[in-house]
Amino acid sequence: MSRGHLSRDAALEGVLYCSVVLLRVRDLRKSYGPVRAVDGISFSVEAGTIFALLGPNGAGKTTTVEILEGLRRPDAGEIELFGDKVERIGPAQKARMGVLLQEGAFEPYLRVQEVLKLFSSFFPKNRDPGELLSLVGLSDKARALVKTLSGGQKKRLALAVALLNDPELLFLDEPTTGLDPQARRHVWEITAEIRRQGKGVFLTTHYMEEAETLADWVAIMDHGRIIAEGTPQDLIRRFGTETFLEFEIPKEAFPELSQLFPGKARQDGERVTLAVQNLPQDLSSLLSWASGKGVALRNLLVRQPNLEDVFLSLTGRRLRD
Amino acid sequence: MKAALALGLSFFRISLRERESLFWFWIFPLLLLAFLGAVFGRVEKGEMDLAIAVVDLDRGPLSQALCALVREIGEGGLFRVVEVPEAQGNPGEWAQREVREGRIHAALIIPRGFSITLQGFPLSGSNPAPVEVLYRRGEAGSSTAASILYEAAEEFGRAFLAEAGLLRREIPVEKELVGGEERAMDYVEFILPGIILMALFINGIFQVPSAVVLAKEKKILRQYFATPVSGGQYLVGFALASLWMCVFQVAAIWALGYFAFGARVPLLRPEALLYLLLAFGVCLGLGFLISSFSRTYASAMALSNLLNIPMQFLGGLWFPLAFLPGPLRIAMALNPLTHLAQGLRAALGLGTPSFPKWVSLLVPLFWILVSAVISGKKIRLTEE
Repeated sequence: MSRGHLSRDAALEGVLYCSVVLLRVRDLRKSYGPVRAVDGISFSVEAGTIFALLGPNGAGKTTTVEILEGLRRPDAGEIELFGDKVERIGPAQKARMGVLLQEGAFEPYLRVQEVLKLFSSFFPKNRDPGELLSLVGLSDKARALVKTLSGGQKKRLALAVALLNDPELLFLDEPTTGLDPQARRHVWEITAEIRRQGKGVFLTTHYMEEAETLADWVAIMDHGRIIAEGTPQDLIRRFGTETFLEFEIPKEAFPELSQLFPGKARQDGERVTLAVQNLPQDLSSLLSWASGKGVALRNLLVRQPNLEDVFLSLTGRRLRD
Repeated sequence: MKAALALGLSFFRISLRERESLFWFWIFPLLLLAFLGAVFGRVEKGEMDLAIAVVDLDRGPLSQALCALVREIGEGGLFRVVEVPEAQGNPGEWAQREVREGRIHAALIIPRGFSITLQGFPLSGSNPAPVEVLYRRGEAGSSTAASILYEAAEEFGRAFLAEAGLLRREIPVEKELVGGEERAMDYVEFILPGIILMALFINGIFQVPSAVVLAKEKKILRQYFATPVSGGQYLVGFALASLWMCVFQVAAIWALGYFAFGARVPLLRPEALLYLLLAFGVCLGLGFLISSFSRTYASAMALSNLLNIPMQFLGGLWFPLAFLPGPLRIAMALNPLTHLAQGLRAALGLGTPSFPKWVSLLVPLFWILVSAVISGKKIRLTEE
């Protein structure tokens, strides 16, 4: 998908959303002493789309999100939210936004339903708390104290709070960290439903699969700058030029293999990932080497590049580094 | 305001559920009162700062002898004698007013003709005009002071009769009840205002900073500030919860004193309520001040502990400040607790302040103002 076009789901619903820009950021800057945490980034989030900001730790991603959530002041740059230019995100903007913080917490001695009631008093309009608890699967915990909830349950409560005011723009900062795979899928479904309703979502995540599955537009950030952006497929097409062979070999065989494919092989325990430009030729070389040395190649598979590979090739780091 | 009220209600709930807060703010002051009341119970009169006046309308030799006797008793530290202002046209009315308005605990009025009729008494047998003791309704300090004066007058009468060889007969002394009931001085009544102030003080310097700094440290505050809630609304909500907690706590301490120990402390007097409100303001302000200078929970608690003992020690919550050596009296005079304790006790008729009333009001107000200004500038509820 390219920017400004209809998303497929929105088109199916017959509603024109994508031309409405909910958030536009131009040349945003923020420094902490001599460190430039955010160094002149620009992007926009449109209605009915999910925008994913990816970056390794220290890339400036959290600072960017916290500025947009109204928790920090930018040093420079322009923020346009819901069509209005704002110096700082204030109560009027926050009333139309939903925020799921990466590092947030609720009063441990309040009950789940009391937390929702308390937060609903902060907004002019609210969704039914019972319906939200049901949506995030916490109905049976309505009377439980927050301190008795597991990490995943707290995350789901935070999602319910973020959805409380039926926001036009939703910030999801690592929404599925700490959730089991089933709960993660459930959050994806909720997020996709929000997009279907024509709302905008600003997502940061450590899970590439999440970004690939959900995001309409991905921006990759490193050292305070956006170094690449586009749809996931576009990024993979532009930066993922290699095919990957993955297999397991004994650790002691790796040095010889890396001499055969200099700079192309990565080792993670017994698992090896080999980036190849010419699949038939390189696969043949690999098999010949293994046969000649008597090395067993276990669990061999061939895969296409994904967002993780793009990220690695652009930043030199894995997302979780 | 809706958000601040909802926050206040939530914080109030939390204070009832969180064990540490429940013990230190709600239970500990009650336990302390119960312990002190059970151990010491009623105390002998004498450690109270009682103020009395002697109005000599007669100015005869015998009335002056009675005045001298009262002063002699007072020199033992039982009370201090407040002099009738020289310009006072009607000293009797002045004494009535001073007692009624609580500036002095009791007054002895010696009528005109007292000396002449008393001197003629052995021959004529006619009773002299009665000596009057004025005191105030339902107030332990006033009642005690009146009893002392009553005893002094009776003692004087017995001494005179013994001198005249007429010990069988007595000088009539009338004890005039302005109202209420006659009761002995109660230690619980003396200590109860101190415990109330201690509870407010603990809430201010421990509960407030621990809640605010911990909420910031545990990232609870950022969850609030990601919504339209402002720092001001959060602080107003917090102050409301503290106020409700203090009202309930004061009521609980009063009820324990009243029902368990029979302490009659008239907390609803406007002046007493004013001092309680000032005490709440000072303690809350101190709490916000500590929060402003503390980055972590540990540093907040260290600062609170640093202030706790000296301020209570130099505030006269637990003993009369007259015992303090000279240099410490300066610290005492600057300590808002000094003025709150003295002002509250005076308003309750349990003592007279060492400072003029305007000073007792001004010093706490000054602390509230300073705390508000510094906290307003320094307190950081968000990361920036």
